[in-house]
Amino acid sequence: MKANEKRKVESGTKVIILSIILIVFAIALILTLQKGEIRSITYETVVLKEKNAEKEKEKRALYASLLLKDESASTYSLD
Amino acid sequence: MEDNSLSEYDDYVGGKKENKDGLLSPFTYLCFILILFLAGLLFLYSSSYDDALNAGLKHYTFLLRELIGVGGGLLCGVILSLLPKFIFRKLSFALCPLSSFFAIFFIFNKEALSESMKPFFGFLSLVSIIFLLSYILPRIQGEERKGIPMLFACFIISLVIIPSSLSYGMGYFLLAIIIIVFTLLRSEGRVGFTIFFAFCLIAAFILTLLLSPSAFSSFSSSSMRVNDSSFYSSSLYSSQVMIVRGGMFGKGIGNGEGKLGSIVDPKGELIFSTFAEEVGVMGIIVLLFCLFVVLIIGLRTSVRAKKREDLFSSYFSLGITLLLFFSSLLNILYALGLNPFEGVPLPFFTYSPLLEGEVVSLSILLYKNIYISRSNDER
Repeated sequence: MKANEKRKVESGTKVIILSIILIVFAIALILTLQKGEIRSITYETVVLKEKNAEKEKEKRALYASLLLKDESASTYSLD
Repeated sequence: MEDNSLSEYDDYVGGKKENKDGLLSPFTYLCFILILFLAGLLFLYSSSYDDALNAGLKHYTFLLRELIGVGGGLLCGVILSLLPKFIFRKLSFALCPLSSFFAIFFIFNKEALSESMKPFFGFLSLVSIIFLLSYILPRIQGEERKGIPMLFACFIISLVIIPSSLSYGMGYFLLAIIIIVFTLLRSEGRVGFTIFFAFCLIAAFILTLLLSPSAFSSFSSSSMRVNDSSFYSSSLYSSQVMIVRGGMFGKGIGNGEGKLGSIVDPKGELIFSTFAEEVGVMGIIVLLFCLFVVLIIGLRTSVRAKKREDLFSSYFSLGITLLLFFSSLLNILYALGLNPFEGVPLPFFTYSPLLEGEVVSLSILLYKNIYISRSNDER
């Protein structure tokens, strides 16, 4: 009986040690995953901003070219 | 009956039998190897999420791929460890030509392979040397003449490890020399023979350099990356700055800044710098301690296996332990700028799903050897 009890205690200690390692790892992983998630959100926002800014620039360039065309057309007609 | 079992168990718990194992039991090995694996996965994720985002992937993609590798490795390791001993030995001999084939494939397709595949093939060729030594050495003991085919095979495999550019091969070549020399010393203790063999390997290496001018030029230019100002100023210098920035306790897991663009491939062979930045000197000490414990347990298993004349297990345990320990050491020295030979990965940490699977399988096989050696000693 005593031997069995000691064995149980030993195996119980082993299980506790392994579960502590796993729990610590799980907590660390969750915290790091959160940091990764935040980074991805920041990244997406930055990328989206950059994309929007580029689109805006393209639009402005297009308008400018159209305006220039209009002006040149008008000057031509005036001449 | 109960009293008998009780006295036996008391003897086991408080007496001689427990002292045989002490703290270095298979369970200790299991704990330390588990810590190494979990820390490896954690820091792999931490150093790879920015890379994944830059590549247009989800931030956990590299972690998932590595986990798939771990799953495959677990499966392979469990299947191999369940095989009967004689089948495993024969299989190990069959693995040698297969591994050599992969090593040759590695040389000719080096440029075509992705960065994550290279360490796997490099490790595989070293594992082939371990299998070869474990299988052949017990059969040629006491008869040096029979060692000629073994010498020839090791010689060829060592040459095979040197890829065309040599910058990758030198680290593996060093590892091969360490494994072969230690295993030969362990086998018979013939120091003269081992020194002669080591000189043969070095002579073969110099001969290859002289016979291949292109290899020589690439060796002098690209393998000595510490002297290469452009590379040194970028990745290696940044990695050293990151290690210094980590300080005593580091910046915290996931808070490193060097991985966000300072180094070229933060999840590759320079992953140690991310680790050092985030956990500092204390983390490095813990990592080295874990590796040291695994080394001690592996060496003890090798000694025990030799005592009960299981030479295959003895050389196999020795080879795997040396491979894990010295590859880690070479990688750490490379990140610190003290080892000029690039390419050697940090096992458990470097991103390579196939390599991770390989390391998991080898660790399971080593665990089996440790467990068997312990249970045989108890009898």
